[in-house]
Amino acid sequence: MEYVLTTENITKRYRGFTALEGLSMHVPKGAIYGFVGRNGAGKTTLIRLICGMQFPTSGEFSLYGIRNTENIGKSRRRMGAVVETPSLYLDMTAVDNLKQQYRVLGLPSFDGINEILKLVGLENTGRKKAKNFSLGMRQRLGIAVALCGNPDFLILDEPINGLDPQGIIEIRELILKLNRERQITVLISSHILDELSRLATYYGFIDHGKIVKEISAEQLERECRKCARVAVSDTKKLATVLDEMGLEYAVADERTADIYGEISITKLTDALKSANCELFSINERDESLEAYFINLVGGGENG
Amino acid sequence: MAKLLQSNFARLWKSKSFWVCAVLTLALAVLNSVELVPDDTSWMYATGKMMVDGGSNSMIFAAIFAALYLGTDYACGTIRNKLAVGHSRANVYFASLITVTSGALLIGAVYTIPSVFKAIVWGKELGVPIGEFLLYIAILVCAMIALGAIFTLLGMLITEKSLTTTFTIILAIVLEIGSAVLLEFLNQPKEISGLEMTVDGITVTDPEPNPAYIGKGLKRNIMTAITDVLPGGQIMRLETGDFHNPEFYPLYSFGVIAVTTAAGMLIFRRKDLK
Repeated sequence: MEYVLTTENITKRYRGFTALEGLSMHVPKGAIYGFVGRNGAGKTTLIRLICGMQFPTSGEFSLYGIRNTENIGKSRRRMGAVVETPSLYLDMTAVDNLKQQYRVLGLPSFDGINEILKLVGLENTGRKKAKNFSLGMRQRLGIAVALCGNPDFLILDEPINGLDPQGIIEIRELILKLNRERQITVLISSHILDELSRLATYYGFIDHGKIVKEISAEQLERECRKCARVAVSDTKKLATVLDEMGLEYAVADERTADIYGEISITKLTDALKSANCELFSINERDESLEAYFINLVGGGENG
Repeated sequence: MAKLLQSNFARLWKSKSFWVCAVLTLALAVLNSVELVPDDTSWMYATGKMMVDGGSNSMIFAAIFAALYLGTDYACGTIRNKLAVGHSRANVYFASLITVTSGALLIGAVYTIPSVFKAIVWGKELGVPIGEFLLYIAILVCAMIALGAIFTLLGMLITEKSLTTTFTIILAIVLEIGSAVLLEFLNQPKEISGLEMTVDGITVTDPEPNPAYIGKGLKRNIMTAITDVLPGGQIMRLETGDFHNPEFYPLYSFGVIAVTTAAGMLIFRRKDLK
């Protein structure tokens, strides 16, 4: 699998505080990568490192195969980013903001500006200055600035924070459109799991500066389905029994498996007894993404 | 860096702070160009001096412009747009340095407009030989560039716009007024004539040692060095016409530019930005 971004044991320490500790992640090409974590987990810190605003204390990352210790500037040319808040000249109009970014990129002409503004729904702002935009409009203009130069990797740091429901829908549909129509890889960080679940094709869960788990959306969906997790003495014998019963299952390890769908505990117990397989425990699992995340990182602290 | 310069200068022309500072400088220049002593041909009232006074009279405006211009990139977060697309820290710093010093020079140049007008239209003379005048212009230009380098150092390392503006203005005032005070001390006469006012009128007594006089020694050398090396001191010397090896002043300014730029670059390259 080709990765746009990989990080290897990235650590970032400030005075007396470690924001990232040995973080390793992989963003597949073409994915919408949902970067999930509580407030203060380290999401924005990592994004700042990737965008060149800060430097890792140790570890490396690669963008399109180029390491941060090499000439990574060329790789960054292929990406656009909105970090925390949209980076806009508030005294300029939408068009002037994009023209500024075109100049920064060294693009030979201003062709395409109107198309970008139309894509984000800001084609009719005219001479209105960015300081008079609503929060949703500024977010969209920030994405428009990030889209200058046709990047194929977009980093969005909590893009829906502070938006109303309509604004959230607009941003979501824009991201999906960019991914589907332009094959732009998107790294989107958020702690609003419900919204991410409508977008992401891959997830990276971060907690206390470390990636706890990386998982595809399909795998996550399987793991989050209602199932019964059984602990047995021999999962091979269990598999034989479940095949005979026509039940869908997934073996987790030598002694545990998840059984999907409705099962008769009595029949299962009898069948396992006949197969000389001991049944130690059965636990029902019915996970939402929030429950999955909390189980993953522990629910004690409040973010 | 060419791309950054193009972007920076495009923003400069649209910058309200630049135009307001330029207009205020021009207004000040027009006011100061009114000849209170039209027949005085000394350097203090010469057209050439009016031009080089642009340094001292535009220093504060140049400081305000530099602080607001550089502070905007941090306040709006737009410095992130430059770094995120691959521009190096060095290019960002140098492009800012060139833009700010250009803006400061332009603001200083605006001050010369009334004087140039008088020289061309009314045939007013410079007041000094052309070679000497060109040296003064070179001193002024180098000093303004050095000031721009100092303002850039502050503006690129301080990420709070309000703090940048405060420190830059204070620094400009300290450089200007501090230099003026030092020159005042350096120019104190060795002796002062005693004047006594009695019921019978004013009588002149024998000259007495001036307690404010600073004799040859370390103190005088330090004060002289400060006013010779720092751009504020050079600009004030241009105003007073009191020079001390002026042909070296541009070299001192290059030294200030080199030191401040090297220090600024060194810190900015590794600075964590938000």
